[in-house]
Amino acid sequence: MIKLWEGKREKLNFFTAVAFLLPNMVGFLCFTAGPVLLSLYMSFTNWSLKPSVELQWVGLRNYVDLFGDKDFWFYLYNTFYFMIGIPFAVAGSLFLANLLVDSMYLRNNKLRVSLAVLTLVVGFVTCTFLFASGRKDLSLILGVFYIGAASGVFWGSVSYRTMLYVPSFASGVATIILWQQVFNPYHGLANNLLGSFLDMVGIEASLPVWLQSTQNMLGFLPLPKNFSSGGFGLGAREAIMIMGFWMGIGGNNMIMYIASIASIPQSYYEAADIDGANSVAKFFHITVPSVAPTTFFIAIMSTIGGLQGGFQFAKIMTNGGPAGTTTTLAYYIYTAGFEELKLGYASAVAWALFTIVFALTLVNWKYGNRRMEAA
Amino acid sequence: MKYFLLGVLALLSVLYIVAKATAPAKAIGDKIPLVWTTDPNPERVPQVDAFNKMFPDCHLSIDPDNSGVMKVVVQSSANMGPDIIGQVTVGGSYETYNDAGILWDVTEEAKKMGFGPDTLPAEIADLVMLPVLTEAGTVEKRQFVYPCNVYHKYIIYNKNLFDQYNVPYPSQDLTWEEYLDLAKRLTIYGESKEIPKVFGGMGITADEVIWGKGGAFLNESGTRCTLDSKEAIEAMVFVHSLYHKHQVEPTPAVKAGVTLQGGWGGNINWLGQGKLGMLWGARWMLVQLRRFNLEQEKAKAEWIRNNPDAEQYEGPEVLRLGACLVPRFKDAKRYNGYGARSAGINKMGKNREKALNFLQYLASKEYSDLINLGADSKPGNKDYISIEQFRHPDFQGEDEVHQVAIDAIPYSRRRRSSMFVPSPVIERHFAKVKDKIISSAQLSPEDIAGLMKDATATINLEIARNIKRNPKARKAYDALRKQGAEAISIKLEDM
Repeated sequence: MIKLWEGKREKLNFFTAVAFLLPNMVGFLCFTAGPVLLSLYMSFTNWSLKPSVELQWVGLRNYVDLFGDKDFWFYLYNTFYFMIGIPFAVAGSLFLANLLVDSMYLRNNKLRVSLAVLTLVVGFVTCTFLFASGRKDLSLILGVFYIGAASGVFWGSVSYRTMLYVPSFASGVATIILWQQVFNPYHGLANNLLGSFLDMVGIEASLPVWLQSTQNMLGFLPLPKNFSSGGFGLGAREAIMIMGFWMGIGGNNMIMYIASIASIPQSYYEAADIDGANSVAKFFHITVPSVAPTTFFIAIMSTIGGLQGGFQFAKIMTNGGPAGTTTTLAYYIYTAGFEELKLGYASAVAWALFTIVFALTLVNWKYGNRRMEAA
Repeated sequence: MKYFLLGVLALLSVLYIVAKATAPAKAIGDKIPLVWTTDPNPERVPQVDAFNKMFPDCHLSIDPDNSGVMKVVVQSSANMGPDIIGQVTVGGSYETYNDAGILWDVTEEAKKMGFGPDTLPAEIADLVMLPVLTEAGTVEKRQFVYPCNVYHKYIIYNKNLFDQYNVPYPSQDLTWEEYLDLAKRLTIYGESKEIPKVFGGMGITADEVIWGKGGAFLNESGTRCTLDSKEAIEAMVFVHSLYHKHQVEPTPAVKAGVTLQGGWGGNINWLGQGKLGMLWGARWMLVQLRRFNLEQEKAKAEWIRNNPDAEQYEGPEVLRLGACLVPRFKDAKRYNGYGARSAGINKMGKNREKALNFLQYLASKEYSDLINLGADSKPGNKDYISIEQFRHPDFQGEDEVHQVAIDAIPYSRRRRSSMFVPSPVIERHFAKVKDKIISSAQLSPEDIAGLMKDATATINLEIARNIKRNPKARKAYDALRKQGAEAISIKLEDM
């Protein structure tokens, strides 16, 4: 039998430790484990906030309804659709981390300051000229570019890491409002740039209306009618994916990759140099396999996050529309539970989502882990 | 470490005691506290003051942070809710609160205290009533709320714009043909070929079109969704044409483009600034439009002061408003939507008898005068709905807007609700159809019919399921059937 303490002092220490842990444990049991188990039980009932509905055990009825619920499949499809962006965001994070892992810091103070000032001056002149000639968007973008370049020259790669990490700690609501303006179909930055690009290459095409459109990149697929596909094109889903990509690329994933790349022994790269490997070869044959455990971790976390995500965007940015195209399962759980008061059904949707998350994590674990070990 | 943590705990305890001891006490003495969950509109201050003056034994205060429907339901279910539940909307939270069983049935008290449905204009008396299943097994309408204010939808237009572009004012018997003609003539494009510099009209809602065509969302007893009817489908085909063929109603994409262009910030501002000809709205819009009037009068006075020798006034124009009823289809009846922000009493509230005073106050002259002067739509009590009572001494030239607010009452109509399907469910499915209609110019009438039929089938399935699965809903359904209600569209035996 395990002895938890020996002697009076250890006994006192044990109970002191328990006393300190107790608030957390009680909180966890009451507000996390308890509700989770309760929701599992409730998913087999007709739980409703309406007192006219007496609580009854309904067995698998909610799950049967769920399989016949066209909206559930549509919102599940939306959820997976948004996850298409995840591999790109992860690859982008790795690419950025690889660029920013070295300090890139000029040791000569005089040269550093002079170069930074010169960059700012050139930037100011260029942007003023562009602004005066009516290219306001381009001048704005170049302005940001020059300020970024000047701060990079002055502070080194740390400034880029900080800048890229900003979306992770910036207020979600504020960034969403900002992106709403970016995707404004007539005056937003997205369409101004896209329009300029199309003009440049001589293509005449109507610009997307982004958040107000049901078009999507998989709009050519023969999907069920209720999937609200407005045909092939860029629409609300793509707008949210681009925003998610922007938020994800320089966030925690990049930081984890930087830490991971920094721990790769330098001797690997030196050996590759001797063998005449170029930068691309070193990246694919040394960096990528060496950070495989990190990639594996990020892949699992991103999959889980992706399946549970979308609530914030749907609630603030689009209200789940247009025509439900930005409603994810997380948002559906909220509307079913707290707007339509069907808490039992919402619990069933939540557990269905959990099952999908769990199954995908297992698949990831089984096959991803094997590849990681091979690497 | 443990001594440090204990020290922190002791310090926090001392600070808590100090904070508690020095917190200012609520100076309400032995008055009975009443809490009203509502929005923090500045108008609430005089409304609360007037109540406290009228009922000196009560102390009313507002709680703007807990007025969300779910918060009220959860807090009230736990016996922690407010005394007066504000922001109750018919066709929305009214049914939800009633379903949650937290509203007090005040039918008998209302009769005695003078705030029953008979105090409302006859056309909207039904507004405060909800069908409930009685113990005797019949379905009866009972009163749970009284309106804080009532609105009727109509059109407010900018006369300056009509004059500027030589377009005649809308007639009082406006038809859709006339509306389309006026809206098209007033839609003026400038440099941009995509976004007009002046919009002819804005704010059309599908409800009026559906009713105008003879359709409805639900049948009278709420046992069937009827959005798949020929009339409702025709109406939505017409709505589609308003956005895409006639282009007299801007899509959200176009509106978004305008919003950023100079930061106008909303339909009412657009009307006030002369960028919009006709706006579908209600009397409450005056709250915002009066600000334009004040600013523009000031600018006019300044111009005259700066140009003492000018023979003719050439300065900025002062907003002149006109109003008319919403359009009707040729040879068809006109309908305009109406609604209310109401208040009810928490059944579990400690001071619910005293809270009745508040509903009585909502029907009083004191409260109605505040609503009338502030132009916060109209009071519920018909005794205080008149053009004389609507007039504000500081704002002349609003008579047309006041008059149409009264003229609209006989054409009142609102969405029916059902005991068998929550209104948010109907709205969710209908919103999807609307979104598709607005976002897709290519939809054919057959596509629209398909969308409407799908939405209807889903809502009808929900109705049938609820009746089949909920014994109380089944009882209500059986009672309604005995009272002559139409059967649901799906046979319960087949489910």
